[in-house]
Amino acid sequence: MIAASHLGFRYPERRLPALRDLSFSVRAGESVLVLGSSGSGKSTLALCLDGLIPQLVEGEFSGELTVAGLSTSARPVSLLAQKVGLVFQDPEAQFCTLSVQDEVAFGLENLRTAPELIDGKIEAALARVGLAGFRERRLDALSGGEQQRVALASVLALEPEVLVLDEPSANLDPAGTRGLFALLGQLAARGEHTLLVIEHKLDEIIAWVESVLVLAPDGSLLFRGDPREAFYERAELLAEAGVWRPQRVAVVQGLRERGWAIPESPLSLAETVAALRATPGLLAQLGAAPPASAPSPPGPEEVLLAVRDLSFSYPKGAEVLSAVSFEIRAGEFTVIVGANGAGKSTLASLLSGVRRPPRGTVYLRGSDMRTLSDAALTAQVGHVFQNPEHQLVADSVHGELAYSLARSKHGRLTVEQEATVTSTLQRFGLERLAEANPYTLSQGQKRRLSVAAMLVRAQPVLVLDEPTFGQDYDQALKLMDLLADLWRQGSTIVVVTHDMNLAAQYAQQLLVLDRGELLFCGPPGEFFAAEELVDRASLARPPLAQLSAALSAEQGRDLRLLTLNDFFAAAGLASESQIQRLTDMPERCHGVGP
Amino acid sequence: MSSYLQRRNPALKLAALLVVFFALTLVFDPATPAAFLLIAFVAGRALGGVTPRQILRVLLPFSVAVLGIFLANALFNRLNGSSPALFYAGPLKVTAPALTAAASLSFRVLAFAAFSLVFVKTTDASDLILSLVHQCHLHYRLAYGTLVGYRMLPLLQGEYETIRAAHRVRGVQEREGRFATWGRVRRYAVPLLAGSVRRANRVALAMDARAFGAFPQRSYRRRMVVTARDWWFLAGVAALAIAVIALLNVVGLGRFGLGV
Repeated sequence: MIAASHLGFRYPERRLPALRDLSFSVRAGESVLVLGSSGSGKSTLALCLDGLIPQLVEGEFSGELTVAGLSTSARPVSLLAQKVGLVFQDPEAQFCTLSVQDEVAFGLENLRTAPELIDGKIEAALARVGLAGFRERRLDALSGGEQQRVALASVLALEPEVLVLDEPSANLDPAGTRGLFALLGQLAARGEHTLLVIEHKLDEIIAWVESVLVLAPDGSLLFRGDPREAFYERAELLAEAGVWRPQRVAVVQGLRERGWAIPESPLSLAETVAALRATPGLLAQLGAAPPASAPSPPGPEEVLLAVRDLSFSYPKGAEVLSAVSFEIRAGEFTVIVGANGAGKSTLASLLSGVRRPPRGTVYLRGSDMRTLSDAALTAQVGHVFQNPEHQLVADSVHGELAYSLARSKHGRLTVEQEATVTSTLQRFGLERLAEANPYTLSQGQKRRLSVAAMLVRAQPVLVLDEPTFGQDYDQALKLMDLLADLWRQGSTIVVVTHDMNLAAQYAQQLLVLDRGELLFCGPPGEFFAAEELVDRASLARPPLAQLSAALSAEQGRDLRLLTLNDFFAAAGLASESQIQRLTDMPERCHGVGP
Repeated sequence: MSSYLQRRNPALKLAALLVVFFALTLVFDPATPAAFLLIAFVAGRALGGVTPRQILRVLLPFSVAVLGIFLANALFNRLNGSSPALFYAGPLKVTAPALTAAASLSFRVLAFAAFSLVFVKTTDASDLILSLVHQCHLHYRLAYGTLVGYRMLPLLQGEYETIRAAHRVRGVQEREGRFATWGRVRRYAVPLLAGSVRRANRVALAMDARAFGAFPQRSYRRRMVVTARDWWFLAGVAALAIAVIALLNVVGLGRFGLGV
């Protein structure tokens, strides 16, 4: 169905090619997971498959690529569009009309489909993505998950043989992600389409993927073949290329390193449970260990942020938060989770004073936030926005940090401040980019810069809205490393995220919002153990919590193993000094899916 | 269900709006535009289901600007020099012709605004674009470009608000005060432009990936049609405009002129 031979592409303003000398083939009906670090050319490959490269995107194209027997460089894109359906990361950014039916009809109309046939095709396409009855709805009134299904329906309407999805779940909340993946799994099982999916959420998708295609950081082909072989036998190769492995695979490999003889190479949840069960003595050992994530006792620390009965609504809008109360202690790592529209970002912006909370609801060190001046507030609390570009104010990386420190607009930095800037740049790995324009940085570098510019003022509290959003594994990891470092040095950190893994690993206190109400406030282990709460909040358990729950069901007692270290600690055979508990130190090296 | 004005063909409704605008440019008395303003309220309510309250909500903030126009025209009109004074506002002489001209202009602006609002409130954006393609033979590339732009407006507004908040957190406001306008424009423009260019690129790729521009013509799921009723509506609007102007002229309240 797809055949590439010596495929290469270089963007005009770049020195190095995005793709180089790629040769591979995909048979009809195959489901392929495309992996690679950020900048390895995954999205470029997706654009090649539709002929957008080289026909509409300029650059240096070499080699040969045929899809469904059509050469992507010689046949018109409009013809290729009938063979290949492309779905992008951000559903909102690929729509060009206002309503569901207009959007699904768009491609059909472009191909001059007879108007009397279009309605039937819209119905059929929407039914396939589970959105029958949605055709009259406005696009902006849909959830992210529904929007992404509409995007899928709008390409399915053209009845393509190949579907290419470029990180389709990146903008979705856990419930939306689960729904989308279930749908893709059905499509894969039906085998009518050849499926290429670029995705980071490996545990969720691995069950129905038939093969993987791994790109090296330089855009060449690193591996093409069976996922078991890739994740188990080529693990080192993949890790070197900045590609992570599924969490369940990491558990199995880690336990093997600790001497447990786990049979087979399990990938899916069921396979993993079976393999662990088949390992002599392992389940008994896991079951005998004391519960790993015991609730940490409330410390004597100072209450830094107190939220009392906070309700909030936007002008002319419905209530976003209703009667939320909780406390954040000094030096605490708090994670806020919830479905899209649950009020997470609003709550974060009220905590940092970006939006002024109502009188008498939010207290910073005991004083009503309403009464604090902007200057007093920004000296205490830093807020890192979702899109780092929004916070850029200067012309150079150095300038961004200097801006935060300078007391007056053209004020010179003191020698001390200059030293602070230099050391902060070093700490964030940005020292060699000091003179670069912030807009020329990579996505990951921009994010680090936005955190650095906020941190250089050394506010005791730092609030971050989706800090790992749109980043690949490696970048997300670096950033979380930095946050964990800061936290260890005494900063109070509040993070809003969709990433349940991140919540499970880093949170001391987890806040769960459900349609504006605080559904849960406590240690993450307790929340993820309560299935009905997770469902009610339209969230999902992280892969390891699912594994733990499946094992708990077998053992008849709640294991509460949330992180790799929990598993390894419970299984034993590792030297005690290597194992640090979640409550002492966030686990730093594993499983932050962006 | 839908109101009379909502059912009218968007392109012809736009033509009717232009007829009203043109008629308003031909009158120089305050009474005629005031009558038009009244008609906008009545027709909006009766034919379009647009309540006076909805119109006022937009018109009231707008009136502040109109008041400025009125005062400027009443106090600094060149007719003030040659006409007898009606009264003095401090050192400034105010004359009857100047007041008339100022009131005429103010009512005209308000009537423009009211009619435009009734049009916007009774017209679906997609329908208007389709109608411009079907009735006015606008090229579909241009039409979809416009629609995509229209989609992006609320996003841009939201982004602007976010950037403002993001800059405030960086301590921008507290330091620069109000005289750094140029720097502020630049600070907002760069991220907004960068985001827009990226988004436009992405949507263009997504559209091409669905065979946009495959053929010189494309088919349409639904076609905007012009019925006899639409033509009657346009004729009715023109007739009403002429009748109002003529009537007020005969009564002596109106002053109609070409090229005055």
